[in-house]
Amino acid sequence: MKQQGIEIIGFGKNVGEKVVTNAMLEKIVDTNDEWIVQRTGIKERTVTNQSTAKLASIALENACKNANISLEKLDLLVVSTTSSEHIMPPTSGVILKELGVQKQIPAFDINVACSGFVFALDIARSSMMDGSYEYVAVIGVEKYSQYIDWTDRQTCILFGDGAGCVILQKSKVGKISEAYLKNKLDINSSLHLEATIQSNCPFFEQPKVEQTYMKMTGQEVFKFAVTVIPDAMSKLLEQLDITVDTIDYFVLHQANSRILDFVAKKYKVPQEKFFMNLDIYGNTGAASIPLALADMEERNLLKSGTKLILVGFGGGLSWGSIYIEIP
Amino acid sequence: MSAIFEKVKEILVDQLGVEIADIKMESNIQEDLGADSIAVMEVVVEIETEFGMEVPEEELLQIKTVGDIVTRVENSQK
Repeated sequence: MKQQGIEIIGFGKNVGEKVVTNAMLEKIVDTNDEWIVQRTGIKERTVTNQSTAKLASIALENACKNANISLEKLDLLVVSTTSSEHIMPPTSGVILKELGVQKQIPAFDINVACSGFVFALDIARSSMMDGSYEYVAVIGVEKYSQYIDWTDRQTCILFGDGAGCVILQKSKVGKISEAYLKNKLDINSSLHLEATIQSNCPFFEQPKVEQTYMKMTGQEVFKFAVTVIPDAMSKLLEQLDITVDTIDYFVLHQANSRILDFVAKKYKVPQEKFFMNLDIYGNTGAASIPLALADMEERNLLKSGTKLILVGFGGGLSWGSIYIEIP
Repeated sequence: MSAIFEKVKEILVDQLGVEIADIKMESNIQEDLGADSIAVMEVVVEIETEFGMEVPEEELLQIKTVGDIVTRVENSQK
């Protein structure tokens, strides 16, 4: 397992401007607060009317301020998103334009659904190992509110909009491990979202395309999650040759409190090691882990010497884990 | 009744907090034993761990009754 001296020097976040409580959802679909909280742990989430790039750009600005560096110091920008409306330029390009960044740096998007931030962090780490990048920004951002069916009570209760960002700097003291990353076939299409495209290519018949939204089979996704999370945790610990006791926090993708609770109980890991903030943000996809990190930093939980394992899991079906040591 | 059914009942009691006497082969895990849809999956995962077997993904949503679980476990042990 290769390790590189990389330090997270800044954390930033941004969420939607409108808070949507469970009480508000009771008015639009057949649901209630007790049902939602009991099944998911979510009490509220936020939605935005801004563009995905705008949402993310503020998180990036905040992260740079937190890191005490100018945006012009960045050498690379990696953005993970599944729900952006920007295709060309990609979300990362629109973010740089939004912020008026003058330096011509490489910037690209990746899509690995809710595992995306872990994958993006590993790409950033690997790129920095080359020696060519000094400062790298990694963003997870989602605007799920534009891809979910707000008349479907199975999905509209779960998701929220948000963005989280970390700034990485090459360093002798910090550590980010090589990630453990996996994908398996989504045989039953448990997590499904397609772009609705009305082509007018004249060389084929073009039926009218109906608008579609995200589809999820909750039970299958739950079982998938509680199976792959222990795999991601144990395989990474094994590769690093460390025990679960040495880890201070497991920062899991914030999908559902029942998933986190089940894993903690089944594998006898103290509940307090699983940081949770999904009660106020809902499932923010690739943004959920960097949002959690930003909140942990605000609450002074990321002190010197803190050891973390981040675990992402989601559409693909994908999952992955990565180890971080705060210097 | 079989040792497998007895063990499955123990797991249901532990996971759902139900009375062992209330568990029959025909009991519907949600309607009769009070589990929500996620709790059904929690039970399935514990059963898989206990018996070292796996319910195929395409059959997960077919698990409705205690008998659905017991039958699959018995088949896996053959």
